Amino acid sequence: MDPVVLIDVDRCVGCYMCQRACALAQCIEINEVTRFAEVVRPEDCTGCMACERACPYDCIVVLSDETQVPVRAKVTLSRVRRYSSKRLVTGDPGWTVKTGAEEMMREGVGSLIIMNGTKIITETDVLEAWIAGKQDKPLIAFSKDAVTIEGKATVEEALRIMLERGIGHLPVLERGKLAGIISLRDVLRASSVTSPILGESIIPINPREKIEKYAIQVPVVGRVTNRELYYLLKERGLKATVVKDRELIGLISIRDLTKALGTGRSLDDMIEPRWVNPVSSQEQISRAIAIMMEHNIRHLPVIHGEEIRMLSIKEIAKHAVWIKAM
Amino acid sequence: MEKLEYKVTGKVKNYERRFNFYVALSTVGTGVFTGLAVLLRQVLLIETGILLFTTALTILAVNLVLDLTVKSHSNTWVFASPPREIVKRVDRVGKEICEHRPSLLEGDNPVSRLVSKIFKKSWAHFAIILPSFVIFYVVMVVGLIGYQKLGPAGISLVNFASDISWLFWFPLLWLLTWLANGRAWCQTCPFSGQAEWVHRLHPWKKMSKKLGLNLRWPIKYSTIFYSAVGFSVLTWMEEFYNIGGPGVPELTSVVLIYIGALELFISLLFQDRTFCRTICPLSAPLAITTTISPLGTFRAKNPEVCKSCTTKDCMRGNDKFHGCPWFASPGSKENSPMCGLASDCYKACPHDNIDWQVKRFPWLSDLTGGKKRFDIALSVTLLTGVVLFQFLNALPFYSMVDTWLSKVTGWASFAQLLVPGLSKFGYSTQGYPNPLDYFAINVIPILAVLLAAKFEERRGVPLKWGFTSISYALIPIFAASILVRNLPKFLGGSPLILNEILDPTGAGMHNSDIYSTFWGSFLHSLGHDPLNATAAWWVLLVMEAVMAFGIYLGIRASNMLAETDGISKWTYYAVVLGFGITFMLVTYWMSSPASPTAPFYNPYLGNLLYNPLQATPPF
Repeated sequence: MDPVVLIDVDRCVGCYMCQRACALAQCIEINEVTRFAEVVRPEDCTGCMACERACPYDCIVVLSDETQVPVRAKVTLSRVRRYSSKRLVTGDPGWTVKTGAEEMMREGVGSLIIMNGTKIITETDVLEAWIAGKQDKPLIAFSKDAVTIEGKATVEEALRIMLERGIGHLPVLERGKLAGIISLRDVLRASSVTSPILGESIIPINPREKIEKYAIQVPVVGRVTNRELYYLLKERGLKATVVKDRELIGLISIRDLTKALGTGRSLDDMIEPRWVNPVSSQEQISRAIAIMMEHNIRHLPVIHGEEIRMLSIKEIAKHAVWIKAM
Repeated sequence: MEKLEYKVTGKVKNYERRFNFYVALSTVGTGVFTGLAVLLRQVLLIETGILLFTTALTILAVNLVLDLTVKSHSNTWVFASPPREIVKRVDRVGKEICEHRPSLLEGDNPVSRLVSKIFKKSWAHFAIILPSFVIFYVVMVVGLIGYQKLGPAGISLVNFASDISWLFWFPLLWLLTWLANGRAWCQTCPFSGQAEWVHRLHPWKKMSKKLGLNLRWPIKYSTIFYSAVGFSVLTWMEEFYNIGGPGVPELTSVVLIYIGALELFISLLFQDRTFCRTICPLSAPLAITTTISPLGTFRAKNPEVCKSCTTKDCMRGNDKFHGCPWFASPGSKENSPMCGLASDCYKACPHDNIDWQVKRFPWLSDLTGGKKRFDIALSVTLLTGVVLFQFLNALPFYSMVDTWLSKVTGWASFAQLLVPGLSKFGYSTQGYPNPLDYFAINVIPILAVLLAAKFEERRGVPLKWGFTSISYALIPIFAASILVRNLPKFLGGSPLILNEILDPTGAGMHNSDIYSTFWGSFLHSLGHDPLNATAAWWVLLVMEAVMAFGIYLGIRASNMLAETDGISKWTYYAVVLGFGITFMLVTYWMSSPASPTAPFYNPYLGNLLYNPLQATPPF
């Protein structure tokens, strides 16, 4: 059964002690208008009785099965709403594709939510429109129906949806309204603090493993045009690849292509790669992750003997930090 | 799963059941006690029995009604939640009203400096209670041992006990509404004082332990509606025995001893001032009048300080001082009528964040706000019904109906069983007031307000919210009318207690001799006639003026409430003016000389129209 929280509204004075005590679940709050304590998210209540103990006037009685507290706490802690980003980058359906690309570039994101969370347009959609020469058409024509998730769903459910659909972002709804967005990265971050539930498990990554285990073979490009690069990436199903120009080694990704569109470059202009110091494939994966975190990049060129390979954050996630049914 | 659920909710259910079981047991026990007392023909025991029995029965009845109507185990029913769009408006208006107010504790004037200094002392509250404590012990004793006989008009005018209680103290309670605030009495109350001293194990110091079981009143039943029902029942008792006439002094003593002993008993069972807040018959009326008083109660200066405070010394107390015994933390404005001015929070607050403000005219700011209490609304209407009874009972038609009803129902002869031995003091009864017509009149305002709320419901206002908001506009009418009804006693009789200070038992005095005493002749020279239980003609003008002031405040309150609560101004006006004008008219008629020879005589209402110079406002 769900815990029942009885609040004596005759004596409750809205002193915030229960709100303070409910630090983990954050489900009891003082209503700003009525100034009463109120259970705002009953599904999150773990029945831990912290509020009952905190109330200076004994106004609260919690009826719960105490053996269920740890189980409920695990569920509460893995709710999507706790990890989703409140910062939403939304677009106007009437914008042109080019304006959309500018907005993505300015905000540093890979997708725009439009139509109150029902539609989403990603970098790939924007680039498709560009290649087809329709960068001045409205965004809405290239958007897709958004796959959304409820705020009270668990991050494991979010991860499952992302894997099944092969997508990286889910708009989060609270009571039918757009409330945030959760990305694959958010889910992975969440997985490091939650424990698996429902008989599934997360296999943690071993930080001492060699980079070579995760680095993938990618085509190394030289000086090519934006159009050539796009066709190459699309053909190989890649989000990024390695660039080698004489001694310089760098990266080029579809985000760079979106940026090119946003800054008004043409499809026939040369690509503008980001020059990065590569790492050796014999180094530990932890070092690579540290570099990627520090520079806020998703890919890294890897020197593997004579060859140049690429390490992508998605590969690490796909291969190592997965949830598997036991 | 179901079994588990049963086990978990069983904790609360069992507590409620056990509580009700003991209340039912007390009801039966005190009922049997009353029955035995009737058989023994001991009037003081009968009175004690009825007082205890009706108290237990009140609690039991309210609990039963709650059990039948409220399904959950919480008491969310005590609040009427406003419709959504009103919430926003109330929020905005509330912010506009917020302004600087003069304060009793802050400020650089001699009064504030003195008051703030005195209330910082731990013995301050004890020192305030002590005088009334002494006086009321004197009252209890002289009421039992003093002169008992009644005068020609059936009232006692020479015994200190009944006179100070009913000519001075009771009217003063209602005068306090505009002199200070209703809870100023709670600050002085000797009954709660002695119970608190025992409960806290020291008159002023903080001890590490509190005496008694410190039980919690069940959450579902946490309401002050008991108090309003208790006031209604106690008023019936008072009318039946004519205790407040002022009547036979020993009956007054028994009432006071009953309150004192019950308070002591409850304080040993339940937490702190559960009795004062929940059961005391004066709690609801005084809470209601406090909402419209010029003097506020102890409140927090800066809510942000309270928000960040983690120790809550004002509620829990600390090692040196107690926390608020009234469960009315100063942090919330909505709790201001529940503050008993015990000043514990002021001493305990480590942030010095407690203030005691004076409100601005018309002192109605506490009525606004999105948080309105349904149980207070019920109490206001019920208490207005009690006052309505006290007005109507002075009209001839009431006596006709009451006498007829008592005869038909057999109540008149049953009533004789409850008053053995009182006739020797000059008391007699025909069963007045018959419980049936008494409680019928009591519920008139509830029905009237319900009708108005039903009317508003058709315009989309939720019934409960409409009822609550309209009742709030009646608060000034209640406060004014109960004061008006007690003014003849206060103006026309209270100086008599100055005679009695030197001779509290009334030894060697007769009621008929009072005009030979100094203060008796003084009153007589002003035109009062206490011997015949009437006041001077000009008291009628004072009464009408106070009632008109109450109507004025009621209209002001109506305007304020209409602005925020989504109810038409005219609905408030209808209720406020309906009761206000009724009270003004009845005040005029009940003060009529009742002379059939004068023009405009009506056998049911008295002289419909007469010269106010001939008025005889009844005690």
